[in-house]
Amino acid sequence: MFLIACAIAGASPDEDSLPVYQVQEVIATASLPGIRAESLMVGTEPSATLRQFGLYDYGGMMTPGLSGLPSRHTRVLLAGVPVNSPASGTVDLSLLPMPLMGRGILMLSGSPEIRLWLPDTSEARLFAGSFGLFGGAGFLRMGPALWGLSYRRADNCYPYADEFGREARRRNSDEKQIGATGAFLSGNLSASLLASATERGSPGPIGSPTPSARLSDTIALISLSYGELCVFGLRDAIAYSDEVRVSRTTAANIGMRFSKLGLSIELARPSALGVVTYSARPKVALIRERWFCQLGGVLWKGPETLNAFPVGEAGLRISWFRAAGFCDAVAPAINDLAWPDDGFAKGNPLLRPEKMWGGELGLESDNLRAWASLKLVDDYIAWVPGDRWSPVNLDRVMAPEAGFSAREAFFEATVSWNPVRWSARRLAHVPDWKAHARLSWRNLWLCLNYLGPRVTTPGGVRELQGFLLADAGASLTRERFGISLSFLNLSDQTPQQIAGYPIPGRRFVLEITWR
Amino acid sequence: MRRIKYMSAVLLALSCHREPEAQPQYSVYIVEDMAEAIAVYLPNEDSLVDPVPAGATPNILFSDGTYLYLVNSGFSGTPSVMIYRPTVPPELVATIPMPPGSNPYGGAMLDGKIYISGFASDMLYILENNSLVDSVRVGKAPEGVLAFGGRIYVVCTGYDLGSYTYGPGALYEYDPATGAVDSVALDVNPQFCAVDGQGRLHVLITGDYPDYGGSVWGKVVVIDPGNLNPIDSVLFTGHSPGAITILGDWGYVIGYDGTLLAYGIPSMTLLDSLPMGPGMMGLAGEPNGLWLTRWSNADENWLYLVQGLSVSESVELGQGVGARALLPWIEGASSCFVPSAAPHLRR
Repeated sequence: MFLIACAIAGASPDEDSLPVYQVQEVIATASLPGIRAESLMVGTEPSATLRQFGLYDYGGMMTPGLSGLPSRHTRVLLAGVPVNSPASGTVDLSLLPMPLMGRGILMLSGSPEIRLWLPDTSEARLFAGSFGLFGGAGFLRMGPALWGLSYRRADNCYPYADEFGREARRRNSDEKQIGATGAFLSGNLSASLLASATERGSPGPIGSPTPSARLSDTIALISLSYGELCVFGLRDAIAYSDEVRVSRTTAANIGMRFSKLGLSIELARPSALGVVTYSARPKVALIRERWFCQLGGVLWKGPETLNAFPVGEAGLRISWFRAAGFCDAVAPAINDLAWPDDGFAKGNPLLRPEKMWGGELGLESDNLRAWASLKLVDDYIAWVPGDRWSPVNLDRVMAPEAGFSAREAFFEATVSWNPVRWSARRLAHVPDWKAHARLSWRNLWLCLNYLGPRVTTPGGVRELQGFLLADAGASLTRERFGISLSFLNLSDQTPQQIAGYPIPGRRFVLEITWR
Repeated sequence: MRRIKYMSAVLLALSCHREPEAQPQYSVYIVEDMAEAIAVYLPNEDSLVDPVPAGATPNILFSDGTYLYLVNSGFSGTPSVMIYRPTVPPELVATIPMPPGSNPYGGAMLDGKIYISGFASDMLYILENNSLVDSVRVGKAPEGVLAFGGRIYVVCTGYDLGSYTYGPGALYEYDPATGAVDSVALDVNPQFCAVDGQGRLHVLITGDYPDYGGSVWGKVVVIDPGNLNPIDSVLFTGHSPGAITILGDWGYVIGYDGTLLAYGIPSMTLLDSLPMGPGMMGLAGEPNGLWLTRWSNADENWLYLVQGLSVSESVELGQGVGARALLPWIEGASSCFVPSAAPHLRR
């Protein structure tokens, strides 16, 4: 896994939009000229807010896939620390204690990125809903420290209808999760700690259910910063069991980042399955009011190869016009390289890193926004079935995107066309069309999300139909007390966003907050 | 006036030239598991027709001479059997959902009923009037199904889905008239069977891939369908074939390692071979020759026609489509499994 150093010395933080407790890095990225970014309210149901940007939602797992690219292309940073699994390269958001996340930013130009932060004030939340959902989260600020604790459980045994209209109920979908966090800031010194333990069923696709498969996942993350230096560590322990087997994988990532005067370097050492890889990413950045430029390189050492690539990013903004360009590289994850032959799947040690580059043009005013972008991925990595499921480097994948959004006081709408292609063929589960609309009036809101038809395999012919989901809700706030009630999937459809995995039907979430 | 009459007669004669005889449809249907589609190749026109959608994880295509039956294992959705008219492209007539988790694998048609093996459920499913009407428990992890002599034969691999290991297999015989089930134990990983001209069953035993750490090479065991006793066998040392077809006095097998092996049925000895290269998957015979597919999940896929044990035709099927099973189809043929070719269609 690569780590992107975004530490940019001299950048001015946006004090209003960022909390106090974050590792000292970046900040300025959201305001980098020419870059498209979106704020993200994560909340109790991240699928409801992330779906419009791209989400692979299946079997209780939620992995973000922005710009039509797979989830391993989306880096997720929590309080500045990369949380992509060193083993898989992806982030399953359902394994993170999302009730502990306060807010986030999506970086949509260049290499996709999600940045999440903890809340910065004391608060308590309780939530409950359909399919046995129950949980809570609490934060307590004590001087220079913030402590948080969360719990979430659900049985998720929701009814669904398959392609033939046969009704059934999801089994073995239950989940329990406990999370804890702590953060400390004093002068130049800051530290953060987060741990979560998730135990859940792994129901499998409806065509081949796995009623006894269980998954437990424990994530521990720690970071220490002093001035411009930050060291961090991530440990992810995964245990999978079914009727006949138990497998345990422990993955870790240790790294550091240092930045000063526009120069930065980030080092990382991911390890899993007895395999260690190394990466180094030096970079120099120059940021001005209307433009910025970052140039550098990445050095990646896999188990059998040493690769070096130039990386860079630049942006420009003049009045309502903006432009950006980038080149980057994404290394194979350790599972991709070294997954042991278990009779079903096997890694491929000969995989090459993916090379990405592209650009984006945009027109923006206060209420209207239009953009056109193109992202190219050479040596795109895809797991494909065969004698064993194994990853291969496909040829170039092209991810063009054109979109338009409009916002008014009570209304916002976005339409995007994102025909991702590999040798003129469609990639699996990536819709060409996405649309989102939200109406708000006083304390009421209505949200519509449309996902277009998707093919089920790379270059496939079989299509899953497009679907429209409608969510609605109401919220009320009185001084420190807030209450919200959301109804998700009002039309009670259970389409398969990913083949074999119907999404939950109509449900509600009630949340009470005290700040 | 007479001249006009003559000219009219000449024009009439010219305009009434004989319509060319409509040629029977000759096509090769190809199951593409990666593309989840059925492609059609027309040998007489040397053209490939745009593929039509299949179901979730399509596996095997068989026919009763009237319709095509596609077995979808359903890993990426719901398992099903799809029935198509054998047109170009094939026209979907009906879809029959199968039990979730059953992983339907192979099938055959007998007396208006469809028999489907359930690889993950160890069952033989019986379908009639486009719905599942009955099931019979058979051996572990059944794959190939054959209708012959009024009976249904199910080849059970013995594969253990929990541990991904191979165990001893078996051939099961089901009598639809009485419901009786009989079986005979076989070596590791039998997958399919075919019938020779003497009415004997040739069961292809793939073995457990010694190239990948196993210990048993492939072979064909000849079984008397009357008493299920093994009669003869031929061993393919160094190979693990996964597909079989019989043409006259010759049996042909091929596996992913890519060597087409030809054995003589009277002598049951391996007589010839043709290296085709790795990735070979589908094999079907018809009097014109053997049709084979080369499978790839990322690179080019191929359809080959082999005549006289040499490749006479190669057709690109597309990158990463996953060309798997195939079924040659000749309109008007009577056989359920290998439609016989009219002599004038031979190339």
